[in-house]
Amino acid sequence: MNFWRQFSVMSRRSIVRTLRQPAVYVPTFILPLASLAVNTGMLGAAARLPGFPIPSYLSFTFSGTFLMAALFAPTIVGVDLAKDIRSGFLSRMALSPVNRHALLFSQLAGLAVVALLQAVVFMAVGLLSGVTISAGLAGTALIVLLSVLTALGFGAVGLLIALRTGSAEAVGGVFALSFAFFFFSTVSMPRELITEGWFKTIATLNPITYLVEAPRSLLITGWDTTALVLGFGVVTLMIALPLIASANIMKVRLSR
Amino acid sequence: MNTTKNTLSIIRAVAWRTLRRSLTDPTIAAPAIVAPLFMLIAFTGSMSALTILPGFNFSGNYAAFLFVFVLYHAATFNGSAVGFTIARDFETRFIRRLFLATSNRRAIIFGLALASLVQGLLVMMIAAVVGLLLGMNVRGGFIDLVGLVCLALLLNLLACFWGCALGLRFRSSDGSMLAGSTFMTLLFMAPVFVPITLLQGFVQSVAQLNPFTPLLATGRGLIAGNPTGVPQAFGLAIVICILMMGLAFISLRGATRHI
Repeated sequence: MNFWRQFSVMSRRSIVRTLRQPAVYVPTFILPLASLAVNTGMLGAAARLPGFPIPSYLSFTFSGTFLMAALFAPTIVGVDLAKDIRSGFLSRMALSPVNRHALLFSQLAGLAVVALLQAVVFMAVGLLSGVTISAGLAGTALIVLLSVLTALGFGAVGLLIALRTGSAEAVGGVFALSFAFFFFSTVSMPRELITEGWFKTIATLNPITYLVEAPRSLLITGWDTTALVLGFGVVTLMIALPLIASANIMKVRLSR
Repeated sequence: MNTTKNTLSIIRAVAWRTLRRSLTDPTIAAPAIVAPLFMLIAFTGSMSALTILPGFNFSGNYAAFLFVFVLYHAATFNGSAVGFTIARDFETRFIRRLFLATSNRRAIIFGLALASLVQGLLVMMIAAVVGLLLGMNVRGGFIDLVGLVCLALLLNLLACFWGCALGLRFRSSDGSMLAGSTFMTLLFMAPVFVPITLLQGFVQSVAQLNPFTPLLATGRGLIAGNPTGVPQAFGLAIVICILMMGLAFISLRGATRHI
């Protein structure tokens, strides 16, 4: 069986397993949208601040919705993999001639499908609520792509933690840490209007800031090359680095 | 007299046991302080510019404005967590020994309440230190600040009774999320980041009906040194506290049938 055949079979397993657990992914649809509605009501007046980049706080904060959904990705991926490790499924795979990269990458397939559905639903809700997208149709597609890639990035981190620890609880810890990074970014206020210098420094160093600002630039500015390069750069590193580390750990696990 | 002495000793014993458990296992008490402090730091850092909005009528700075929300959040989170610990005693069956120890079983609830007040004071002190480090501008006098602490302690107490009621109802750790999230949800539907006049849409409508809205307003007035609606806020908190206490007693009656 070649790599792609193995990958498609294992991916199908991941997709079916993920979609069969609505209790895991349904909250990832509801919570970000609820948060968007509440935050818009709470902080809508912020759009009246001098220098605020757009008159609508809804359009400003909309990019945070995709990111918030992506924060749940480690839980979606890592918990399932931790179960596979504990149940011995991974060990049984070691006895088969399965390609370890196919085994690894296919774990993210279920997440990718959920992330795509989320992005489409959020975009539909946003557009119906009055969100404007300066970059047009191409920008909309790019926001969806970035959203899926961001989810895959967080999923890759969850994968790494699950492989390293074999523990669903450790993966849950990633969720808490990710939320901390989320709030120490520019998700609620543009960088130019952050008056506390220490917070601005933290937000500038925080990679999550660039995952928020890239889709936001498509909503507000149109085509901001710097923001897009930084956003795609961060998400590429988020996907690549944990996957490389995971491949090494998988090699050791399967050889045992 | 002996009954009173017995009741008081049970209250003291339960309170001491609860406090010792929190001190020896920080994972029990830590969430009550970590989450609110985290919000204080993150939101003060990111949203201080909101104070220049027309209609943001608050004489202190943003750290002080937000601090009252964080204080209430920490107090209610702590209170509900302490109250809910009674559920663990059902899981371990220790509750049988507690019930045997006293004819007045309400003493157990009052013991938890006492523990939550002591722990709540500690949690509030830590929150105050962090607030001051963030540059919180306290304009209220000594009496104002005592009033604010008393109001927060009342909220801590009512949350503890609520936690007890849920713990006695569920009798297992399954309800812990509900205990912790009830007041967090209520607080977040109040004017957290801006005054109520600056809220928009359905959030403003909900905030107008939310009992935490006048409590937050009074707390902010106390910390800013121009208190308003203090008797009404205390009255509201006491009434809710009595209701929660009644709920806890009703749950206790139901729980004793399941021993």
